[in-house]
Amino acid sequence: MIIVLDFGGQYAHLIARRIKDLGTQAAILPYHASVDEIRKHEPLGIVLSGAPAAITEKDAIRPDMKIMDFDMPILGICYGEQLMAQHYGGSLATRGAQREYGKEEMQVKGKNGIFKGLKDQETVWMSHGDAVEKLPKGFTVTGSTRKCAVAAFENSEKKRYGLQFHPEVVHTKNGSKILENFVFRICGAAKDYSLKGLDEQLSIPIQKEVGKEGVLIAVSGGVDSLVTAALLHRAVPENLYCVLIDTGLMRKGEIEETSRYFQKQGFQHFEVVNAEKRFLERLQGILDPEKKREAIGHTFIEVFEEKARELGKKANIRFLAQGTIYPDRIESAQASGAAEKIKSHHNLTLPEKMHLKVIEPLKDLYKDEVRHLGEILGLPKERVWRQPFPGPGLAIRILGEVTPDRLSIVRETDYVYREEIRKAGLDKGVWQYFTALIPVKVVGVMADKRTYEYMIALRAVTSKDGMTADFARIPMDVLERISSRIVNDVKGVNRVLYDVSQKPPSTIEYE
Amino acid sequence: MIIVYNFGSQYAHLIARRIREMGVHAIIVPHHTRARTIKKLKPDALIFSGGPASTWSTSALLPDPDLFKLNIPMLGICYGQQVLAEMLGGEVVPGRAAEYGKETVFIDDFSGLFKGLKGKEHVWFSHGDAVEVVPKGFKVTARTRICPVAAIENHEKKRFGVQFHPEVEHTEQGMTIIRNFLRMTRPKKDWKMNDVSRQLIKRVRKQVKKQGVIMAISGGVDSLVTAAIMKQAVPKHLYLILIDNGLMRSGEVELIKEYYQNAGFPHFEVVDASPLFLRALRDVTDPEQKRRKIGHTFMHVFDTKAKELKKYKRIRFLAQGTIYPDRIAGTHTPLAAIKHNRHHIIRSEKMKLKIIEPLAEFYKDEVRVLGRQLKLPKEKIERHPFPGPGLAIRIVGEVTKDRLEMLRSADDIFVHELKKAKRYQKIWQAFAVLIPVRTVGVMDDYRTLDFIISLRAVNSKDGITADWVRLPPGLMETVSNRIINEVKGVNRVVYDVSQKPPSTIEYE
Repeated sequence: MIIVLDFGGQYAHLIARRIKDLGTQAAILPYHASVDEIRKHEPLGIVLSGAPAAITEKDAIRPDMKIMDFDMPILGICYGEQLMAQHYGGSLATRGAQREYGKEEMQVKGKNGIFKGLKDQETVWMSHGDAVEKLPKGFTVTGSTRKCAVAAFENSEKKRYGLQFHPEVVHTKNGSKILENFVFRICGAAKDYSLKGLDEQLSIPIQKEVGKEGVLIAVSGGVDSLVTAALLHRAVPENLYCVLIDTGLMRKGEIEETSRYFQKQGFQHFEVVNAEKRFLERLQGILDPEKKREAIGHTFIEVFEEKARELGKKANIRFLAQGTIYPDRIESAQASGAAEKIKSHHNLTLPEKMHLKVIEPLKDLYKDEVRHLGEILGLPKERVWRQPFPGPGLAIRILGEVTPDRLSIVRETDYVYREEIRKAGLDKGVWQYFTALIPVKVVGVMADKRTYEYMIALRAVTSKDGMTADFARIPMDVLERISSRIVNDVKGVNRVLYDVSQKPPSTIEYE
Repeated sequence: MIIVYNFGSQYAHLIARRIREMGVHAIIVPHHTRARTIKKLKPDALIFSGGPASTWSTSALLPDPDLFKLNIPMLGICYGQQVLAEMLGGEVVPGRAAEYGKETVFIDDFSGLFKGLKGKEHVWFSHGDAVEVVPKGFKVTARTRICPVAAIENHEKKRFGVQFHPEVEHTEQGMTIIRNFLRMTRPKKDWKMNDVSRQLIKRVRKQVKKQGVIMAISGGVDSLVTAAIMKQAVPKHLYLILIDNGLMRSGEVELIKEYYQNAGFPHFEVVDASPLFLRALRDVTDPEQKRRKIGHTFMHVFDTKAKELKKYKRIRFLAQGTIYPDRIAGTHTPLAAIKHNRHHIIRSEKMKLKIIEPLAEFYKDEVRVLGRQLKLPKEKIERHPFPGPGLAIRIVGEVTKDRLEMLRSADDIFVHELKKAKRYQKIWQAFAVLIPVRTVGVMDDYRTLDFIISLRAVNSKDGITADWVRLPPGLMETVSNRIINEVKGVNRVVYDVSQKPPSTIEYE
């Protein structure tokens, strides 16, 4: 077991994920976890994650510094590295000249420790303003970049390692190798973690807990709720009640497709609730993305509650199952006191008033693991590996107010886009792709008449994990076809834009 | 000479240009021009342009019926073909065969317009209505998958119609079709650009004599060529004014200044009026309103300067870089290129100045030929077009100092990287646009809500139809990363993949 202390950087997850992928168990603890709490997990090593804050700021967060007295290896990444440097008597330079964002070339200067097996020059991924200026006593520099003299350091005697870059993101080419060195060579962990038999492992406690009482679940068509439903269907087939709420914010054909699937799979209690009108009414006049999410979340709960009460009259429902996965819990700042809220998740606010006991069978799994579990459960590949689709649906792919007209435009363009991407055989290689409506009218010309219409942005990214992403290199002739089809077939659009931004500093979604 | 009847098509100019390229003079007249006026001009043929109207509607634009008594060869293009059909006893129906963009046309008759073409040709359409019943004496010479009357001919009377647009470059054999039409109408070859610059200089010298000429320059080709002609004609009496409106690109004012100062223009002055323009643009979001505000402010600044000069100098003339498309009302000059002409004329009457427009008869590429004859620097003549209202119309919505700053930096990065990759010269027009809509991003683990920059790069022969440039993804990545990292307030970059039509090159 390796412990990752989370200083609020969204990369903490990636670190844990990479370690699990390597075949060893990892857990995330908040940065302020006590020494005793950490000891309880019996870790073989500790990783200190990055953070959104600068360590040179006045109220910078710090862990219980007694961890530095541990006789186990510690790896500090970015913020963690700087923390370590400061603790051992080094000094930092504040935000400015050394700032680096994105790929950099690092000269590898020490290959005996964490960089064993690497080349003399390695591509690494940086995201920092501050940097270590003066090295603490007893430490040596093991890597430097153009702007950053101390890109990596170590003290092999104390087993302390610091990296200014992020080995956990895919853009650091040999990042896995570096983590592997740390976890196995330095910490001496064993390869003892795998997904085999996970379906059995997860089913048994559900059967025990639920017994003969009813379980209610809201399915969305997305992977997480689908795998949760499938798992419950395996564990307690007769007591499972599935509800699909049609928010009117889904993609074209999605409700029909999902319903067909559930019916075909023999789910005994499956129902679709059409609430399109209510959602649209509640979204009227709302421009702010967070307010949109709130409105959708509240409406969702309201509709779901009504349905639950109705079902409660017929069946003895005592449990509410949710497709919460590990990152959902951390991003909403449960594990870490400092994580900046990147997205709000209605998953977590839903059960409050329901007087039902919540079960979240996937709560310790990452997305990839959920997908593998889905495959183990025999779900069709194309559903399991479906691209992510946000809870608030098409509503957050319209920048600004959601109206029926705009919804219809974004839905149609999304459909054309998906169809062309699939026809071109690109859907497998792309992580996520969708259209976003920019509600600003610009000039165009059609049959000698001037038009003022909306712009549509095409987003397509490649990614391993959604944490970092690059824009997909879609062949130009495919882009041309998509653009022509959209402006010709979808009324209300006269300009198509292809998003060429990387995440970070952009994001995949727009709101 | 060929006369083009303009029914409000953006392509009317293109038709005239194509004919001039073949050495025949062509002019454009409004669609209501009377037959007796035409008779006096003695044209060799008439061409009816396309247009947004419908012949069957109450707002149809139809020409003087007496034209058909003149016995002049005619070619109707798109709406023009429908006009021919309607007025000669055929029938046009709405919405039956809408076609936009490239189509394959099947040709059935190779004796007239289509001599030398193949049985199948790629042509470019933009129509909703179509001819259904062909008038007497005409036969159908081409059709498409959905449009049975794609071209008609009456050989005897030399009247021709095409539903598609031979004048746009996407019609592969368009020039052959126009050449065939000219072959059958046999006009005089009376349009040559040789030696024109010398004639123009002579004419100006004769007109101005030793009186003063004032002129506003912009850094664009038209005003540069005009200024060069004026300088050669009356070197000592030319007063140039560059109004810095604060809406120019990065380093542009300095560059223009440097050029005019070093090129030996004796009286050259820069007026920094950027605060005035910014104030005028405050809270203005409508594109037309923006243009008006900029136009008014420009006139105001220029007038003030002109009056000041007039106190000391004997200024009698106002020179302008007006070119042919600027003068033709009712044609869509690309909006962005509109100059402040009409205001000028009104104001100059008040100031008792006479207008000189040496380029008034010429198209842009002809102006460039003149520029070459005058030995002006190549990079100045081949500069990408830049609209009069400048960066103001490349900010979608309100113009503020901060937004201008963002756009200027982003545009500079884009152009710089294109030049570094040796692509700038091969592109018709490339620029950045600021879309002031906020989207989410994440930087240094913080959430950001910033604006979008759109990159536009198009290739075109004439600015009327345009296609987006296939830039290598690596180059887009570099530009995108640099903009997001270096321009504060921007966290997303998109690349425009829209063709014109139905999009346009500019955004407002």
